[in-house]
This record gives sequence, C-alpha cells and structure tokens, in this order.
Amino acid sequence: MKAWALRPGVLFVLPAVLVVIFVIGYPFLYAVWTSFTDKTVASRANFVGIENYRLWIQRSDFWKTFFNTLVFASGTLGLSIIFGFLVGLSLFRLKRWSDVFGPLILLPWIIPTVISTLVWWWMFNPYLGILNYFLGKAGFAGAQFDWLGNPRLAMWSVIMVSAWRNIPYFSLIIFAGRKEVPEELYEAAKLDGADLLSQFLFITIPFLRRVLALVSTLTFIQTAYDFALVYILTRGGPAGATEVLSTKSFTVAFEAGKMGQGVTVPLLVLPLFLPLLLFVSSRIVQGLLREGL
Amino acid sequence: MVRKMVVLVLACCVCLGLGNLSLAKELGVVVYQDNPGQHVPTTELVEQWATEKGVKVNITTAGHANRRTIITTALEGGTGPDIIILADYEPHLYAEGLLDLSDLAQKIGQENGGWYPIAEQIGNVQGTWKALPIYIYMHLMMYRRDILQSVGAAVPDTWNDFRDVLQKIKNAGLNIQPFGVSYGRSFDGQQFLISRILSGGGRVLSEDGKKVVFDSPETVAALQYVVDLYRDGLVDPTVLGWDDGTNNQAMLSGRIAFTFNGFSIKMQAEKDFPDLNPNLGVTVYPKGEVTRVCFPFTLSYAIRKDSQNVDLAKDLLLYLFKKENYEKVLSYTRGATGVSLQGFASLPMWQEDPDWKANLDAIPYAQLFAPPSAATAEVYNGYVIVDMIADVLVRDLSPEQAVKKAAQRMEEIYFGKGKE
Repeated sequence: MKAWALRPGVLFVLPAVLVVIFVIGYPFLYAVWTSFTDKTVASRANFVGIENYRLWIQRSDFWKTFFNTLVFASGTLGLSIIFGFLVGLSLFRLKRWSDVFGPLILLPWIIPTVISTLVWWWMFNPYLGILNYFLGKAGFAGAQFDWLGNPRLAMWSVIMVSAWRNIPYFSLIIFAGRKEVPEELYEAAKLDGADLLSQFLFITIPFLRRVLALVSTLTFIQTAYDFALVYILTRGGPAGATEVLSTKSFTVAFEAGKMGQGVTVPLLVLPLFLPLLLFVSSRIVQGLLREGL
Repeated sequence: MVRKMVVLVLACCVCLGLGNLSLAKELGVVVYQDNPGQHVPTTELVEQWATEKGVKVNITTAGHANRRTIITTALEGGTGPDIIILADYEPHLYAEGLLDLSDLAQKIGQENGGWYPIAEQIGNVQGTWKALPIYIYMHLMMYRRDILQSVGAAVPDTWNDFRDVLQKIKNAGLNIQPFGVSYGRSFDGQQFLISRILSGGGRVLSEDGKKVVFDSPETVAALQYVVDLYRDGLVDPTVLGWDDGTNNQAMLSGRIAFTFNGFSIKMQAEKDFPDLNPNLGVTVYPKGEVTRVCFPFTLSYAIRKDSQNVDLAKDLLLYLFKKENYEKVLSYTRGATGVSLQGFASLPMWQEDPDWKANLDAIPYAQLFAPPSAATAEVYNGYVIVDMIADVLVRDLSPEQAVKKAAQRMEEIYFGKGKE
C-alpha cells in the first residue's frame, strides 16, 4: 500500500532527478575521472592514478593560488556583509522610498558580469580611468594608482568589484529579513535602554543569522570558483597576485590543453568546501524550514 | 504487416543513407577574423571554391575570444568543422586529433619557394606535418619619426641604441613618454621581454630539452635592462597596469614615442589618425648581444583526423594556398598577415611602403622561445616570464631572485619538480 502511495510522488520527482544527474552528476563524475588521467585535448586518456593530485600538492604556485582564493572569497564576503547591512538597513529605514531605491540597488547584480567588469576595468585604467581622475580632482594631484598593475593593490581592486556585485544580493536578503523581525522587540529594547548598536547585535543579527549563514556560505563558495571577473580584470596577475583556482584551472586545461591536470585544481580543494556545503544543507536549510523563513 | 515493416525499414535505410551522403557533402570550415581583415577575401575564396565544386560549405567565423572553444569542442566531440584554424603551438598540443598533411605541405612548399623555418617548426610535429601555417603575424617596433627627428636620433638598431634614444627623448623634455608597453600580464609585454631575453642569449630549455636553463646571467641581464628602463624613467610610469590594448591607445593618442606591438596600431593610424600616420614608423626589433629576435603569432589550417570529408578538405586547403589565391589575401591585407612561404617574399607589393614591409622583414628573425609542447604553452599562457618584471619592480626581488623564481616555476611545469 505504501509503495503504491509513494509511486506518484516518485514519478513527479523523477524528471527533476534525471535532469540533475544529467546536468550536474555526469559532468562532475566525468571531471573526477579526468583528474585521474593524463587527458589532453584530442588525445586518449590514460589512467595515472593520483599523479595529478600529487603534482599539484608539490607545486608552489598551487598553494599560492589556494591562498589567493581564500583571500578573494573572504574579502568579498566580508565587504558584502558589511555594506549589505548598511544598504539593506538603510533601505528599511527609507520605507517609502524602498520601491524606488530597491530596483536601483539591484542594478550591479543584474548587469551581466562581463559587461560590468569591463566597465570597472576601464575605470581602473591608470591614466584614462575615472578613479584616478577623481582622485586627482580630490587633491591627490599626480596620483596614478596602478589599481590592477600593482600586486599589493590588485587583489583589493578585484575584491572591491566582486563585493560591488554581491552587495545588492546581501542588501535584499537583509532588507527582507529585517522586515520579518517583530517591531515590538525593538520597542521593548528601547524601553530597557538599549542603544542602536545593542539592538543590532542582540535583535537584528540573531534573527538574520540563519539566512545570513546560508547566503554567506553560498557566496563564499561561488566567489571561490568565480572565473570571469578575475580573468577579465587581471588574468590572475600581476605576478600571480590575483591568480585564483578557476583562472589557474583555465590556463592549464584550456590554454595549455592539459585537461587532466587542469580539472584537478578545483577538485583538490573540494574536500575543504564539501563539509561547508553539507553543513549548510543539513543544518541551516532544515532550521530555516522549521522556522518557516 | 511484415511486408509493411520491411518497406518501412528499407525506407529508413534509404533516408539515412541519403542523409549521410548529404552530410558528407557539407564541409565545415573555421575562418579566423583578424585585424588585417584576411577573413574577408578568405571567406570569398571558400565560397568560390564551394561553387566550383558544387559543395555546401558551412563557414564558422572565429575570433580571438571564441576560437579556442570552437576548436577544442570540435576535436574533443569529433564533430563540427572539418577544417580548423590553430594558433601558435596548437598543432603540437592537438597533434593526436589532426590528420597527417605531409603530402600537402610538401606540394605547397615546393610550389611556393619553401616554408619559412618558423612555419616548419610550427606545422611539423615530430616529422609529420599536422598543420599548414598560413600567416605569421610579427611583433614589431613602432616609433614616432617626428620625435626621433626632433632629438636628432636614428631608428635604434640595437638594444643599447634603443636605450640611448629613449634617454635622448627624456632629456629633451618633450611632452611625451619615451616608451610604453605593458609590464603586467599581457602578451605584448611578455613578447617584448622574451625577445629581449632571447636576443641576449638567454634560453628556457637546454638543446636536448631535458633541462631548464632559464636561470642564466644572460636572462638576468635582459631582465635588468627592462626594469632599468622603468627605474630610469624611460617608460610610462603606469605600464604595470597596462594590458594588450593600452599601448595601442597610448601610441595613437600621442602619449608615448615607442612601443612594441602587432601591426594593428599602424593599420588603425592609417584609417583613423591621418595626421599621426606619416610619423608612425614600423620596423623590426632591435638586435641584442647575440642576435635579433621578433616574436611571431602564427595561424595554421589543420583537418580533424575523424573528418568524413578528408578529400574535400584537402582540396580546399590546396585551393587556399594556390599562388593567385594566397596573393589575393596578401594584396587585400597589404601583407599585414605576414607570409609562411618564402616564394611570396619577392612580390612587388612589398616595395610599396617600408613600414608595411616590416611584416616581411621580421619573419627571418621569428623565433620560438622554447620547443612547442603543452608545458611551453602553460609557461607562456601562465605569464611566467613577464611576471618577473612585477616581482622586481613591486615585490622588491632582485633580478637574480626573480629569474630563479621563474626558473623554479618552469621546472615545476616542465618536469613536475616540487619546491627544492
């Protein structure tokens, strides 16, 4: 009886499961298989065991790339959270204007990455870019900051653009989450003499923590594997200062044609990101569902 | 019922057979879209050939951004264009998926005065021609004639002359930066540095290709030369943030007096900057302590090994390399594509304009910086060589340390050796 009762449900879910297997499962398993081979473009793959993994672990540029990736993802996340709160809560304060500002704030998020990144690239141009122009006007005469050419500055420039893209997403989530917090809590806190910072720390943050954890985890992982933005802005330079896993993988797999080695680069860090993903799926999502958020 | 089934099956077989037949008659060709515009006459020639032969041709126009995706998809998937266009080392990288074209290479070479050595190095993979290099675009030196005249200097012939001329321009206090080319991750910057290193005697690999010999006094001296230009104020101070397009803009806007680039700057000047154009000279790279080296960018045609239209594809390639057809493309582009066959060096068109002739003059100096391989491609596309400049200028490494670091990266890439 139970099996019969289950059958329609299974049938309804089956197409989606098949699509997931075909679109995500197969490419993923193929990538894992390729990482254990010496596959190059247009050649037959030979099984080489863990040779590609051993090779990358020994290579100094892999660890530098891994470190850069962590800095890039963490920096993006940090700035996105800080400015996401600023923008999201400001939007909440401007209730009457939120219909106007809301869509405007979303602009960076909806402009295709390639286009917006190219615009930033122009803005960063050391002698034609608008950033140096305004800095010059603001009194930094002769200041020609090499935003993307100086290894000490390049990573921050890339992080700035990446955060600029993510801030609308965070703002919107925070804005929506803030609307769900009962106003009575803030009124009671005010009566008890709580200042704005205390209200933020002890009411706003706890209420938004689950959704923030979810969004932050997903953003961190998504940013860690971001390719277009870094490649367009710096191609991983200067001197490897912004080389991240995705650009390294692209260079090796496509520009050098070493598919087996190239695909190993992102797979090598998967064991580090997988627990994060599992944690999100098992704890946070369940918690959100339980709370009805 | 059985009879109907048999008829149905037979009908299907006929349809499939016809389908295959028609598919076999449709030839896929990738045509590369470039600045000199060779794709215009090339496309015309392909269409003309198709009309003559009664063959349907499917032309895919590929540019710098999507060419590699089209090629790798075709080679990996075993479908798509029969004739593909490969850049630089790719015939060596994708050799397993390419048809042996030795018969065509021999015939074309014999009929057109022989291949240039650089073309043979690119197209011939361990004794077998896997691709037919058709154009060799050279990296060249661009300079301002009026600026040279105003400081009383001649066009520099050696790297020492080059530095002296830049110094003269700086000393003259003109409102122009003496020199500018990207010192960051770019192909222009890397090609400039590689040419400087090779011309001074530096090498990446030993003769037998079994050892990285990049860490040498010659390489250090070449790097020292390049960073000294910057430290002595002879280079635009913002070059670390430049990319492959910035020096074009800087040259055309009159910001710099010298740069190294493909011929595109001159073409754009002729088209859009009529005042600047007469003063914009083009010539080969300066000579180093050992030799003169100009960096080549090559395009080669190849046929997929699993193509179903091998005979047609070969026929089309022979057609494109036919003397009158090759000359048609050359005259359309005025030689900006360079040539891969020595027989075309004697055409009268080269005598029309010395600036345009630089595209031909540079070819004998074309040199690969290392034997073609996947590892060499990774060294080049991973910007291992040009990264040394930023290591010295911004990370405060000495040239010796920067060269050592680059050599170590090369060891890892070529031979998989970990940190010692």
